[in-house]
Amino acid sequence: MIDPVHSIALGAAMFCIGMLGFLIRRNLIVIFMSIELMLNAVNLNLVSFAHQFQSPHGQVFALFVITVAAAEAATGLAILIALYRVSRAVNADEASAMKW
Amino acid sequence: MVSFYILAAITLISSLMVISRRNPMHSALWLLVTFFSLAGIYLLLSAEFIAAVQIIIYAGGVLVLYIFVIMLVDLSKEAALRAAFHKPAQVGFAALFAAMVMAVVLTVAKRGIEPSRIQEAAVNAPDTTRAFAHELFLTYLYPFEIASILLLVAMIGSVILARRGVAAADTVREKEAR
Repeated sequence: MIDPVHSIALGAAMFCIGMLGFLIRRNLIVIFMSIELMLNAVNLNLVSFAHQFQSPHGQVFALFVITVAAAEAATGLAILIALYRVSRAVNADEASAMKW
Repeated sequence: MVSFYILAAITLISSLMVISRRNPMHSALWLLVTFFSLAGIYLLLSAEFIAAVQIIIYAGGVLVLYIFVIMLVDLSKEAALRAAFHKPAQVGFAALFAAMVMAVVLTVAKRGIEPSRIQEAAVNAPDTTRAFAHELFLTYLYPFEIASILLLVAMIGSVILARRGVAAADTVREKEAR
């Protein structure tokens, strides 16, 4: 049986890698990919807890997280296309029209 | 156990590659590797249905969406690829912050889980997919339906957002007419 501490540590490492990517990248597409990495890390934690306690609730919540991630990717990429159409910007710091 | 460590190493390396490649297309392909190795880890954690959903939805759906958008958005500008990261000081600060979060989570994971609960887990695993379906369609029926409404709203919203606006379409048509 997999030690739950190891799978939680893997989830934490993935989450930190995703957070790092979110903070250091300028390209909006890669920022969305980093968000996907973070959501996947949360899923890994949920599934490993479900395995740990022999309870399917964690898997159900992992399915809901996957649903939200799919909706987030679709909406975010649509916003990205709209932004690209308006201002030809693909980097997060180029979209500064609403910045004070 | 060994397969878990191999898959964990693949997951970590490929997710590091996702955030470190300058070309977003390379990042997307490394993300595919991450999704597949995570599906393998889900199989080891006896979550067969989640593993299948991971491959079908993430690798088959979400990633194709990403690749489509990368191809729609013109990334051929060399300057955009060269300046893929923020300034080095910002990168260093972000790395420090991520390391701090990692340290806190690892400390909690080491101390917070009671050893008695770890021993308690049943050895004979039941049919997890059957139990999963039971929970999903009986206990979590209303959240399941709300999730489908969420997907519908996201679909309509993304179609409206990505559609060429009426005014913009008119200007394009005027330009083409000239």
